[in-house]
Amino acid sequence: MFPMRNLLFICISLVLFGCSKPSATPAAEITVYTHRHYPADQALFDAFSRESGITVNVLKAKADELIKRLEIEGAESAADVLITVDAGRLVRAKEKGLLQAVQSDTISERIPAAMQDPDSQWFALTKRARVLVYAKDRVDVATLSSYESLMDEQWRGRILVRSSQNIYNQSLLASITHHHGGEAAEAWAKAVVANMARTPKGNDRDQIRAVAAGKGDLAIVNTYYLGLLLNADDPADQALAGHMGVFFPNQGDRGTHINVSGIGVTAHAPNREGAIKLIEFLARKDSQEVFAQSNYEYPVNPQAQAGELLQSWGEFKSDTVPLTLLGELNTEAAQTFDRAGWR
Amino acid sequence: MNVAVAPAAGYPRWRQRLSPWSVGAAAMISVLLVPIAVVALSMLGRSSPTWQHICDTVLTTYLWNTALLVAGVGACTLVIGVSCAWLVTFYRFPGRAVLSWALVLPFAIPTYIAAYCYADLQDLVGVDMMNLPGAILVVSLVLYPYVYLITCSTLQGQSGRILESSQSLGRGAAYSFWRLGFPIARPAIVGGMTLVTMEVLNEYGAVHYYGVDTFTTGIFKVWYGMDDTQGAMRLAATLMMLVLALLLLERLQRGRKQFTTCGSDYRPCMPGQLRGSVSWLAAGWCTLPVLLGFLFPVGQLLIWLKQSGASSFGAGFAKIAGQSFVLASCAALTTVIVAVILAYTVRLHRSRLITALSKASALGYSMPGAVIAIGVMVTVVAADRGVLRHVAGFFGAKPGLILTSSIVVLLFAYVLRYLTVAVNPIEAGFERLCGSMDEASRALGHSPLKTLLQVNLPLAKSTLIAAALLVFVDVLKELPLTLILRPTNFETLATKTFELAGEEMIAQSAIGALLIVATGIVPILILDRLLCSKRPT
Repeated sequence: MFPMRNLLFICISLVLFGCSKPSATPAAEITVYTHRHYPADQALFDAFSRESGITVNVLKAKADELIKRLEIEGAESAADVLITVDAGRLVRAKEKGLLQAVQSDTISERIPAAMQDPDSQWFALTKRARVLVYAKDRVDVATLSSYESLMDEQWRGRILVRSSQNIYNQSLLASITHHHGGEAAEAWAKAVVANMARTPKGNDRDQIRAVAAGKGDLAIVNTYYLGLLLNADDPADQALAGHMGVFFPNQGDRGTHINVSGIGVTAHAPNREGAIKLIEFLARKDSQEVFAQSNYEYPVNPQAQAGELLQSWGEFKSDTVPLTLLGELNTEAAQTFDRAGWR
Repeated sequence: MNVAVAPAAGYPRWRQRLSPWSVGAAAMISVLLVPIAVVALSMLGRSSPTWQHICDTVLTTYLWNTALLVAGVGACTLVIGVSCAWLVTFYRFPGRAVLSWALVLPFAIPTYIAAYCYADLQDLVGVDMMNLPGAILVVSLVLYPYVYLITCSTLQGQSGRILESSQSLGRGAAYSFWRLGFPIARPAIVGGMTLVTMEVLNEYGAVHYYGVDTFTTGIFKVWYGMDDTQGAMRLAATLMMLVLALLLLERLQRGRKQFTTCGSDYRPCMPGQLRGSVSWLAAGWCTLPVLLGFLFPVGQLLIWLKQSGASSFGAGFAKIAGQSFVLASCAALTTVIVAVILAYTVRLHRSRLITALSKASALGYSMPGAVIAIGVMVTVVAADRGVLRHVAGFFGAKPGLILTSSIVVLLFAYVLRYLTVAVNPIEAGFERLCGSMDEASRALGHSPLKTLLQVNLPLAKSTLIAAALLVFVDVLKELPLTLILRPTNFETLATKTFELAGEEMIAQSAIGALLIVATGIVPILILDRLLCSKRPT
């Protein structure tokens, strides 16, 4: 019985080894779990491989799913780094003990302290701002000021924004919760719901197009999607640019709300050194400019230049609320939306 | 009528019960049920505050929307699927030869892609599609082929004599269909409707995009928004109970009625010729679903492709397309084999246990893919750790999670998810086969296996093909399971397409969506040739 069983296991494992890809020495590869599905990222991974000789294996899915996979795989996980598109998910991963602290002078030089986890468990890679896009012919720019001003009755039936299940909306409300408290945040959400032009539906692209179609006058959107739309191949989309204005709210006080995409080394990373090298590489000036040029994101490395389109929108002051707080307030924000009836 | 072969005299009943068939089927199902049990067990935990929050705020809306969506899509797919299948099977009209297979084509279009295409339609015609009626229309247009295909293969399997007798007795064609053709096909139609309902229940992308929140929205809200996986799994388990009730209902409606074609005079019915305006009306009616469900979305995709060029997909698309094709073929083959073993065991033994277990396996289809993925991963990682300990002890090495990082986990997940898609038509196909043929074969000394291979499978060929086709196309466009469970660096057409469409780069994703459609058409055309051998022209 005993030898038979072992034999069976050997057979099974040999078959499975045969199935799985033959791997080189472990040190020469790293595995990336990422929520960023952009061609620019793959180009950067390829450049990193050429430079360092480290193969980059990629698994792309939603951050929550990747976090769950990390949890289930535990100590045997092949993942070395986790990349998400918002700080909240990195905070979650950290709270679940899925990340580890990383000390690297190179990283500290390239990524400002405000763009890092206080315990150095994760680092922001890029920034996106939540801005207002308005129809130039229907909205006087002088009437725009802050997220709070959207509660005003003059916006009744004019605001377009997507579902509250969107993480960028949740982060925005989390920042308002941080600045004004939970009750005020709920009042804000309720007032915006009352001012909405329609029930939230579609993505950011659809909100901008709805402004163009006259379904509303103003949309709350992410600069990243705005950049995508204005550079889209569809001539109808490009034509929007002339009719649309971009406004960065709260320049008179705390600054425009930003969210980040970021990266952290996993707790059980088989190749910790390689993972750190990748973060250093992605934070480097030239890599940061790739993010900025081809993906319409603001770089976190102060030496890197933003892309042409983003520069044309001008410099802006961004809200300095600690990113960790946005993560911690995320669940509360999601529930506040439900109570306010924000679909 | 009992189809089961009576136990041979002096053969103890328990021996018969414990045949290799029943043991094998029970073992297979047990393995498949583990991931479902993982989700179901989450119901045992204490209810979480987020669950309370959902109940207090949004649950009523979600349930109401879900009910409306299920009812709307159910009615639409029933009407489109059955009417087209009836026309194509029993009548000749212009374009029938092409329409008979073209009606399956909308199935190859992923629901969320159709949703994006129709969202752009509103710019052209000014009709707002992004609401509940719009969602019902779009989802129905891509799901009706479930009902159409299964009904078609069942109607074609009916002996023409039945309807002809009815007509020769002075009954009109419509009356004959309604009183004879429809009841005989009913188990299959209801089977198809069950699939549609479950697909609607786990649908997320398209309806969410259209601003319609369903029960599935609640599941993801609890998981993603409130970081409560346990709560999300509990919600999914609740959904599962709902589906279980639905399946029991289906069982009840099927009741004890059995329709089988016995005797040697089986021959397909000869379709009647439609003339004049009626024939054009029939042609128009059958063209409409193809036009709206296939030609329009494909046209929109082609426009996007023209705008964006094919470059966005990179040079690797041929490899990805091939990979997807092989993966979907393997999954379809495995699923159909498992389904045949289950359906045949049920036929052989009429065992309530196996029947119940095989019904329970349908639950894998009713849950949102991302939730069932958790169950699969927990199962496979546990199996990995079991294997790991032995192998590591043997080699003194640390091999990592072998199963989890291989393609095996994907195949396992696909079988679990799509088993019911295959079991439903195959069971219905077997039920139509006359039991006396089995008995004759067994009386001649053939083993159950030989009877299956030489009698049942050839007779049920068209349903087997239909089942394989459904699973193939389903796997081809499957998204959440593939995304979460795939090995690193592994891309399918669906994941590659979603990568771009999910990031609002709709135009750039067009090439991927078109490749999914193209890859899906290939087997549809091949299989149509096979099916056509039975369809008189």
